[in-house]
Amino acid sequence: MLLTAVLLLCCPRPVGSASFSSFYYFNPDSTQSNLTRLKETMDAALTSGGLTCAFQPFVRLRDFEAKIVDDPPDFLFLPEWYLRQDGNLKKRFKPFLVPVRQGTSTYRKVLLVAADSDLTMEKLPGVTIAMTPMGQAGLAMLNEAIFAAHGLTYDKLTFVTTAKDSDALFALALRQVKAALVSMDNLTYIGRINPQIPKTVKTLAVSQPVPLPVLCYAQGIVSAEEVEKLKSLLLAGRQNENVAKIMEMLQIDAWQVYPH
Amino acid sequence: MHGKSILIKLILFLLTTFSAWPGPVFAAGGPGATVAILLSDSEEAYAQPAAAFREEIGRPVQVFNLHGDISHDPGLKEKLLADRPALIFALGAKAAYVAKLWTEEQRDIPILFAMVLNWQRYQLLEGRDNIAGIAAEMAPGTQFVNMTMFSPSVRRIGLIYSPHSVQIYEQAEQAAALLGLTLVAEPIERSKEFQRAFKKISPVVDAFWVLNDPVLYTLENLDWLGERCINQKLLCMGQMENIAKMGLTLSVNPDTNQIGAQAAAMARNILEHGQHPRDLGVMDPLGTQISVNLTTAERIGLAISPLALDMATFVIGR
Repeated sequence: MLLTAVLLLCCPRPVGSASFSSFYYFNPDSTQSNLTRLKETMDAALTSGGLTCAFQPFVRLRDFEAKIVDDPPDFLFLPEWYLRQDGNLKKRFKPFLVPVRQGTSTYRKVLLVAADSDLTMEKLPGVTIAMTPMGQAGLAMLNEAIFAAHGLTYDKLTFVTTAKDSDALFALALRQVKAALVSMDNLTYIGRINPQIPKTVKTLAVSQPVPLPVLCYAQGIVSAEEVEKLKSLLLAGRQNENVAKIMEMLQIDAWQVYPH
Repeated sequence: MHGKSILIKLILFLLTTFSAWPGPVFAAGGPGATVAILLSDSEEAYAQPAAAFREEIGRPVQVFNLHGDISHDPGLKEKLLADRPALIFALGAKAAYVAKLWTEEQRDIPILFAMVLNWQRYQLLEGRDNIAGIAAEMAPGTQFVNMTMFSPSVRRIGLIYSPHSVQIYEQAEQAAALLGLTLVAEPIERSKEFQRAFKKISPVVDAFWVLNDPVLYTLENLDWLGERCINQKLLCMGQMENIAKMGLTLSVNPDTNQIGAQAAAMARNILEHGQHPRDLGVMDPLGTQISVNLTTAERIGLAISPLALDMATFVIGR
């Protein structure tokens, strides 16, 4: 068994081998909820790039966490904070591409309260804040990116998690919670569909830039040729019709090589 | 005289001490203290939220099952309370009611309930402040806000309600006002009055909201409504996923899996952050599943923005 494990780690799967590789996707800050459409489009894009790869999107953090332990993938698109959280995962998966949105590979989170609220950062402890799940490393990142500047830490705050940013924003708009922490891009995105929604809330704090999710490959498992194929496919961007669709669905303007 | 002075001091002490007493402290047990899940029965509907709760709570969990009947296992109360759970998560009306009953003498054990249809009917919060929960029904406001994402021009929403759904109608009116919408509502008593009521309000509304009201929404009425909405090019939205499958344009229903995660977050806030169940009250379910019937949308001439379409969990047709 040990020999098998060593062989697996040392001998990447040859290109063109009959077995399908797997590609897991977990991106809670995306507005894309139609994962069936995302999978169909991504599968088509991968096939057009000559990759025999099964794309599997995850909505829930715990499903994603269970699956990467039970059946580790070959490719992984996930929040950067998740890699920081899981040291073992960081050793096994190497980031190689990162999306670019509006000229940057980072985004900001905004802490929102109701437009008529008198809540301040000082009064935030004890107030329920809605947001997508972040995990321990994600919360630690939020400390650096937003809370520390106001003398707060996440462990002094109370959160309720939603699967989607839009659910957190709507819960605030409807006064079901007192505050919501969402991606600034998603607030803009929802405002483009219905300009009334952002008018029901106001910004209490804006985070420092937070890295966008990263695309990784399993080191020692995926061959260099396979990595190169996926890299070329995505870097070619909108030249491929299906990749163009994916980029539109995920609000990605371009891909760039991950800076090591 | 001296005795009287002592007595006055004692009364003053008691008054100052207990007038500010916040009630029981709920940060019961250490981080490892067990949490109990109490199921009304083995219904599939409880399996998902129970599993989600178990995975997200980050504490040992013990599951107890009433199997639909309090007398099924007469020793269940003793078993549940034997290790003094840090919190009880009750799924279903029977479990919620029984949890309240069984903690009559142990009110410092917080209770969270979920999946209780029409929870107000069971008076779960009455006389108790150790109970909080998550409503089973999607709040009217959540329905409306999602409706406006798919049809931002909607301003006037039609609603027909029976005496069974007066409370939801009142909530809907508040939510509509909050969102700058107008609710045009028509009360009726019997299902046969439905078509007349719809004909009355449909000319003056941009969309129609279908309540989960078995008295009004017979299959016959739903079929009729589907056709009328298409003929009158009216967006029609309901609270059950089936509604969109049956041919109406849109449905927004609670994500039952997310209810377990929401309950776990509420439980952690009680046990680790000292939030009081009384302050949490009964939250609306925050997780949504949105189904859109594109075929119907096309037939009523509704051009859904691709941005909004990406927010749908399920897309039917096309």
